[in-house]
Amino acid sequence: MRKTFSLVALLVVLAAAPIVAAAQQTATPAAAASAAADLLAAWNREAKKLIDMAEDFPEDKYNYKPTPEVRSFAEQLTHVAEANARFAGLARGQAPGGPEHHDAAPKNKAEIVAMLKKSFEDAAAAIQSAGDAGLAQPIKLPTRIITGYGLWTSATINAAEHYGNLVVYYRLNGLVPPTTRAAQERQRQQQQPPPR
Amino acid sequence: MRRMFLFVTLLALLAATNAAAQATSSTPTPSEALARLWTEVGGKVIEMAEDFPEENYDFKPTPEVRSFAAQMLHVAGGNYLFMDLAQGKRPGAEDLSREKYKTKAEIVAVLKKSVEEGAAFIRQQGDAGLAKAVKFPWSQTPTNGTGLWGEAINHIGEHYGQLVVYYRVNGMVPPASRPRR
Repeated sequence: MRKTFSLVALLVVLAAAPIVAAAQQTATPAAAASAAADLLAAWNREAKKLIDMAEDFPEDKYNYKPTPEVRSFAEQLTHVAEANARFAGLARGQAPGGPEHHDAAPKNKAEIVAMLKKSFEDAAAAIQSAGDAGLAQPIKLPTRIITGYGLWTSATINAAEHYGNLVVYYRLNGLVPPTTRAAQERQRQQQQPPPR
Repeated sequence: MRRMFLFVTLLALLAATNAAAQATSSTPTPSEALARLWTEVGGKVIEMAEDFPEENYDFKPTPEVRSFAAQMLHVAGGNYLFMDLAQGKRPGAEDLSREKYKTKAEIVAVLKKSVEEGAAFIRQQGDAGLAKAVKFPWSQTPTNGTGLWGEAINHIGEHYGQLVVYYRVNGMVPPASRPRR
């Protein structure tokens, strides 16, 4: 019995050792944030921009589309939410291209906002629980092997691209996007604005 | 003695598993992966700059926003701005001047150059560069090279997203959405 115990203890310690070593390696060079913290910060920045838009945009314009063949404002948001859920699935080890899980289609602005928020929060939790060591692990896709870090960078770019789409949806409706309104406010207070 | 044997065997086994894991994972280094993503996202904008008709270059969907050409010059200027920040330099203008870059060919050239120089910079700095501390002039929170280039790539992505809609309201299909030949 004692022998079994020592074996189990040893296994646990040895399994943890590389993780600890990896964490130390990535943490030492910079006093700044870790890769996981950076990723999470970027993810949360894009999340906030999209969620702010979803909350801000008038519900009676939710079905607006600039041309007939593209996604409406609402469809853009549900598309981002579904993509977020897919990325989180891959990060948690689900097979790529597996059946997509669909909650009941959201019916109104409140439900779309909730779906979008949940998808970003759930993904943020996946990034946080992976940490630096987890993000360095390979993820096998059908065509290539990427790391968790690569996966989440791509996921963030996807959110950024759709955010960019919606900036123009705003403008075409005669509305100023929330981020630009905030930047204009900052400018009025004579601070240097970020590049938009 | 048996316990000792068990311990040594276990150590050897774990060492072997680790080595095998390293040998089989063909994942690029973080800086190489970032340089590739940068090139991929930058490449989509370059493709648009090359594809969009020159006579529509000054198109803007509403009067108060950047024209197609101004977007391209902003992306190029932004790319250089992030390179400046990565080196701790005072950043240059985030929008290159339309007066200076008059033709489509000139705009395509400066955009391409900015993406290529950015990729070369990321590779040259390597993983150590990604760990270097960085401060954005617009934020109090310190970050590092990883945070900076993540932001720089997302910046290109956001403008790419805007340009997709510029295409559509011009009755055109963006290059990435056309059927593959």
